[in-house]
Amino acid sequence: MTSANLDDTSYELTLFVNGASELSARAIANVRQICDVYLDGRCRLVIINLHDDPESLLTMGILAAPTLVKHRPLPVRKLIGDLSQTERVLLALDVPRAHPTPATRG
Amino acid sequence: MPRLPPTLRKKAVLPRQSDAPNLGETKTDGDDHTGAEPLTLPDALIRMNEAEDTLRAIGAGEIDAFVVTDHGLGRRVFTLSTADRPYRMFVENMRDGAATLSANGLVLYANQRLADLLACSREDIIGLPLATFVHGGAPSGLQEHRDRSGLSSTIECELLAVTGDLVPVLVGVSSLEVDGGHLSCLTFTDLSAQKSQDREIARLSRVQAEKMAELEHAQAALTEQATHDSLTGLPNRGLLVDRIGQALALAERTRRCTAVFFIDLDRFKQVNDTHGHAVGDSVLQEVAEHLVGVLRSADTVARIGGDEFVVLAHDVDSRLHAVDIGTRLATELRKHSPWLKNGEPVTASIGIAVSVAGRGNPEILLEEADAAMYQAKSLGGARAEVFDAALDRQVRQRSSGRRMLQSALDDRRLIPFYQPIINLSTGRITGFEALARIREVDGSIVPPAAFIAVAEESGLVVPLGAQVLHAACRQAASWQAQQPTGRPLTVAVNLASRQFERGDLTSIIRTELETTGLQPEHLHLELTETAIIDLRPDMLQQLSAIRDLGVELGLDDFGTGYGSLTHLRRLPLSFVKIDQSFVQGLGNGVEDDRIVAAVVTLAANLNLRSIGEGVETAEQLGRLRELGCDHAQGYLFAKPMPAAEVPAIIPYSAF
Repeated sequence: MTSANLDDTSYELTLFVNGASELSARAIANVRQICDVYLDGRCRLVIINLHDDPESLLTMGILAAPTLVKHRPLPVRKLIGDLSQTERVLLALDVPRAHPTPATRG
Repeated sequence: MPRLPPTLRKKAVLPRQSDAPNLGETKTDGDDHTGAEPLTLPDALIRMNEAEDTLRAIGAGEIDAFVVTDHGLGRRVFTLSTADRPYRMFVENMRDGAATLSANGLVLYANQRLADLLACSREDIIGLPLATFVHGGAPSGLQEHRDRSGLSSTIECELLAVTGDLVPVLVGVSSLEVDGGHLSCLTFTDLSAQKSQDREIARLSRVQAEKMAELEHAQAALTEQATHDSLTGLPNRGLLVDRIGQALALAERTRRCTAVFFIDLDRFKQVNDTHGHAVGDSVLQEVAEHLVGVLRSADTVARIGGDEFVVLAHDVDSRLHAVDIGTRLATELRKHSPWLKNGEPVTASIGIAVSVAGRGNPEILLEEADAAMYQAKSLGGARAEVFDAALDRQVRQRSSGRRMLQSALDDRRLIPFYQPIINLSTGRITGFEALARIREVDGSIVPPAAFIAVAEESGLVVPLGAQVLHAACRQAASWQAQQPTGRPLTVAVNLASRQFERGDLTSIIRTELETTGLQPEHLHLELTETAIIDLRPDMLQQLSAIRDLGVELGLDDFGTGYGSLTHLRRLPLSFVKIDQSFVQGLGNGVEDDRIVAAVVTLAANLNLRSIGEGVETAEQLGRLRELGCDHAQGYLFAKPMPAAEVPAIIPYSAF
């Protein structure tokens, strides 16, 4: 599989969370749901506790937690917050608005 | 597979990372800028968008941590206090104590449980060195651990509560590197319950051990009791016999002599009677100590009876050497006898028996020494006598007599013979005296002279007396049943003083009367004067009790003993028997005549019947009649006869 194919078919996401806080838990649950429901499972998700990996804070330029980083498909994009506003998240991930959920399909 | 909208596709080809702050509505500006320099306008805008997004998230309460770059310290994370709430809940509510320590050992955080363990509030702990709360200071493991970040381990120690109580805990230690420094995270598991369980187990096993020790002690005490005399602590007869056995076995190899010294204190009974048993006991203890003091440690001193001690000497040169030792013992005891307040010395009679090269056995040696002791005593006491051939003969006779008697008792071959007693005024038989005989296995009859002395001396007179009593009561009851019309026959049985020693004589007699159905007044019991020579209060009590059963008591062999006339008054008697030596002297001179006359008169005056014993001639019978004697018995009428022959003579009872 070429990288172009990968771009089309897969999402690479990293979620930075602040340990086992409530917001972390909520953000993790939200991103998992989005992966399952809107991305059809075509999603590689890495969750990083920002206390555990200070190095990646630097390279990713993380300022707060929770922060979701979309590495692929490009462009790289950061989304700050607990990911509870699904519409915003889908936009940031470049998932078409009209797509699958019956609720959003007008 | 959904396709991405064209607008976003366009963004997707942007060569550098960018953010889309107002994702919802505005797909704004600057996104198409591709500058690589950090401080271009679009880049700044992106940063601003990110900042705006962050602000929005803060406003919405969607952020709980911030990362701040501090050039001195590197990146640091600040988290909102709510962020660690799940951890805190967990740590706060866990059943173990928890604390974090700074690198220098100060408590930065403590949970409530730890405060509870220390019986104080958390504020009392935080900021203080943990060592303050640990018995014996901070455990060394904690310090070592701090240098090895990332590892965790456990240490057992005791917390010192502010109440002063010590709480055993298991401390889990893990180390954490934070911002270049070390933090120690500790958990404290309360071991009190476990410790108290351990203590309980330890206590139980200690109790068990104590019980075992007690048991062993009791066993040892029992062994001690079984082998030692309680008054003096000396070995008893059993242990002595063992030791003599060992000594003989050794002497058999060494071909040396073994000597046994039988030591009996002279007139010790008088010491007890005059000074009391407490004095008597202390005399015995002093003698014991003294004997132990004079003898070689290898020798054994034992106490085998009231005032009987035995010394066992190993490795003696000769019979002469043994005599020498015995004489020295006698002298020593005489010299060191300041025991009595009245200055009277306590002396001892010592009998010596010697075994050459282990010959003989312990019992024989003891018997020989005992016989020699009797010899010393009969020579006046306070001396030592050695067992020799003449004594040997005596001992042999005595021991064979004892064996014979014992087997007769065991086999119930002891049978009474009966001698009639005649009423001198009517000439009729009023009853019989039961006299012990032994029937040998071959049917021959052994006369009393062959065993009465042995019986008295050995104590076998007690079972002997009981057997005669039983047979006589049964016999008399049976005669009475056969002669229902005539005057009931009485039966007279002799009592020995040793029969009073156990204190159960009265009940034995009562039982015999009940089981045989013999009327009490038809049982006559005879005591010798010597038997009552030292009449003790308890013996007098027993005699009164026997008399109260309705049994008649009489004094046998009157005139031969040392008894004073006061016995006639003090004892509950019904008759006296005039000794045959006086009866047989009747007609040979005036003396015996006068004695018999006096006795008969005395008895009559005291309201006692008189019975003449050993009547052999018609002349003696005539004199007894003339003197007013009530009854008589003797060969003139009939010899003692087996019970079977009695019915035949009853009809001819007029002499």
